[in-house]
Amino acid sequence: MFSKLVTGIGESLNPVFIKEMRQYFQNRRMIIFMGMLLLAQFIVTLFFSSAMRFSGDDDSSGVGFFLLIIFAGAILAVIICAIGAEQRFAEERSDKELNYAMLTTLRPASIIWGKLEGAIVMLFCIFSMLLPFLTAAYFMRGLSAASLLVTLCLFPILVLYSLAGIFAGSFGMKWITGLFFVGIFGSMVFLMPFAFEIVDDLMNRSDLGTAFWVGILIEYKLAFLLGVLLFLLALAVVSPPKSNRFCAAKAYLFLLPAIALVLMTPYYFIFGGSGTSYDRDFFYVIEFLFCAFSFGVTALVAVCEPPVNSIRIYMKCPRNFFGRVLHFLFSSGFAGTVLLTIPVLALPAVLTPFAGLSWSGVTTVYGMLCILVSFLGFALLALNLGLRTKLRFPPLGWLVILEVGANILTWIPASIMDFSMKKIPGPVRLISMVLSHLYCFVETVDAPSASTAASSLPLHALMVSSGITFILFLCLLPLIVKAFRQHRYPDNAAKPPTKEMLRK
Amino acid sequence: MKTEVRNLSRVFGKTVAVNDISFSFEDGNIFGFIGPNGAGKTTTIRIMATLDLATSGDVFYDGVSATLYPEAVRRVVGYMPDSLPGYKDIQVWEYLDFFARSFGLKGAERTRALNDIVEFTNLGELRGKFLFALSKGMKQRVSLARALIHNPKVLIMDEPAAGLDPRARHELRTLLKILAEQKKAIFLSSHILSELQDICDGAVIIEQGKLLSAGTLDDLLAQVNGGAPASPAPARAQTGESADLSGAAAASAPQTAPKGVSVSLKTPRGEAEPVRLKLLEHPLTRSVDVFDDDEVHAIIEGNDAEVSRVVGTVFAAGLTVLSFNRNQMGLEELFMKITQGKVQ
Repeated sequence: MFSKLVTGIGESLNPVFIKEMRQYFQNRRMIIFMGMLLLAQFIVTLFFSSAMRFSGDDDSSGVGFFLLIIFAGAILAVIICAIGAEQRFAEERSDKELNYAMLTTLRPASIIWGKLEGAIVMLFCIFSMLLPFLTAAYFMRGLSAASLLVTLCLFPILVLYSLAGIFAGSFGMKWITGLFFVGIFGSMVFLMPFAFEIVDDLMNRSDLGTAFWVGILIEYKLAFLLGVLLFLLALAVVSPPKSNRFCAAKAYLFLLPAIALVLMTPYYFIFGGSGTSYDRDFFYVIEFLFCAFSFGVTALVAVCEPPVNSIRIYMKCPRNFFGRVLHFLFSSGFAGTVLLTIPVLALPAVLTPFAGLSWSGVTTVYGMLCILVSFLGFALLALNLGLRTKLRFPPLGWLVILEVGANILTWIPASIMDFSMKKIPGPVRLISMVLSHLYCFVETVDAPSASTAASSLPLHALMVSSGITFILFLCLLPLIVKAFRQHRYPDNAAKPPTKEMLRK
Repeated sequence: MKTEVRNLSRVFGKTVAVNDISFSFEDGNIFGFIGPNGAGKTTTIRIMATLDLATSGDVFYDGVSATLYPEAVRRVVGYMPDSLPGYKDIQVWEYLDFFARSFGLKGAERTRALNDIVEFTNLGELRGKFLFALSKGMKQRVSLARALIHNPKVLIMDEPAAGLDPRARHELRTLLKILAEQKKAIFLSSHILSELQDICDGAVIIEQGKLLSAGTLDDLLAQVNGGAPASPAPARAQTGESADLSGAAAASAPQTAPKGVSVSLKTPRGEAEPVRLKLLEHPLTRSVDVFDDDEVHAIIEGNDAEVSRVVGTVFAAGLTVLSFNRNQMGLEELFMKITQGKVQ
């Protein structure tokens, strides 16, 4: 009975997960790292327990011990689960080994999911190794039972790191691996002071209170939202060529503001129940940030997508007009993606005046809107240059050049305009507005607080950038129309596979 | 199962890697895919294995499109690439088990499939070894086992014998013959043409992405050796129509006119010219050339008996002939003759 159950569970497991676990536990480096962690914890335990014996009145030895163990565990988890997953996946991609897994009946989603499962199980293993020592820390002095729960904050961050590793590894390119290393260590350096501050604050509390749990929930939800996106983007990268690779990611990005709204609403009732304008502004801006994020990534996806779809995608196109339009919007191809950005941006823009925001709230939202429109403008310009010129340079390359160029070139003229805005009349003023808008874009991106810089934006800058973006959209419109005309179920559809072939 | 490559083209930027090639083959036979480096063999094979997508044209397995239904095609096609298994920290058995699970094999069925394939590829002693510890020949066997784990009807192999020692190549040939006996269609590219000639029933020759010749091995060799080719397939293939390489098609194909047998006669120095003139007197002699004053090359129309009669006239005339050879060209000579070694 029991063996049947075990066999049944074994058979239902993802093959990639089984392979990953075998590889994890047969990797010598991983075994060495785990052994080192155990040894280090043991030595530190001995050190702290003897130090406690001689410390007399000092009752904080448990806190130091706890922090040391938890951060050592976190770093090991990043090395094994994030960097390890990234390295292995990148190697599988560059060795073409992943291609052979794709030739089986495995779906790309199963491959990514199996890798994520492996990383999560390894995280549990590492945390399990920490547990006896964390318990020892509790029996030292200065640590409350509640503060042990701080480990909960680490878990979603480490899962996100693992997902980021899987996403970076899915490209199988060395330069992306390099970027990933820079990003992972940079973000750790960035997060470390915050982490220390939060942990220090929590250590000094005997009761964690509602705020702690709400904070944990928000962290988990944000990690979930970002994690799903990373998963879907990794899926898009791994999917076979000319398949509908971005479909799931686009549908998710389109729905992200609504999902965020559902997830954020309980907090509005917990914290924003008084209904002050500040609370309304806060929650609206948070919701708008989700829209902005969703919009920005969708525009970026548009630039990465191919100009022409393959017959594999057309074969799945519904034959009725409404279904065809929906399929066009969410299928791979730049045209549908560009159209998809419009409702994501237009809806909050139209709703903002009716949201009952304070003036500073409206200014903040429209300031951010201005930045988003300019980003779409850059994306459209990159698409126009990539698809309409004969330079054979991809739109993504153009976008990078434009963004970097705008950052560099707008500093000098925009700084001059900033001082002499009032003295310049007529058409030159229009140019200065565009340049100052670009300057604000750069400033806002560079500034630590987006809303501070955005609040100084004039409303007419939004109109100018919208106008330019609209013109760029009109330039691209013929290509979008052409793509839509092509997007239909083929007339000479080939014979489908027989049942015998599928059963084989 | 009939595999049909129909008007296949693949373009990378300005480079036409595969240019409108068509051929087909059926199960139970081994077909060679020959061409110089950069001819488009691997590109074609990758499209056939659903790893890449054609710019135009398609590959059909029993009429099912590989472009539109890759998932269905993958169930009936096994692909053995030119690269070797690269997973780290995994044993041979675990590696094969992963692919068996990935093909949806469960429980006892999976264990049986794994045992069968390990026995067939003679991997029994290696099952507990790590992949990185294997030699190239062993890895090739693992690669073959992986391609066969789901018992495919069509096996596509890209340079399976590359880098193997003679014993490993011999073992591979034996395995391929057994697979062909099991009614599997085997399509393999290789540069070792003498070995292909030993095991292949047919061949496809491409250069610069274009199909140069295709047909059963007898047809192809008859093209250069003279005699009666069994099928007009090679001629059709060059015009972009589908060249059927299957034996059945060849047997039912109409006979065509003989093209001539190449013979060479070695004479004492300075005595080649009388032999040339004597041969030219016979109506079946198509052309005669003299090389180095002591060697005569002639093309004679007809079968072996007629060739003997023509050469016999030289002996009957009392002319001295030191040796006499019927020039047989193999796949390698055919390859050298019809390809120019151009790359794109």
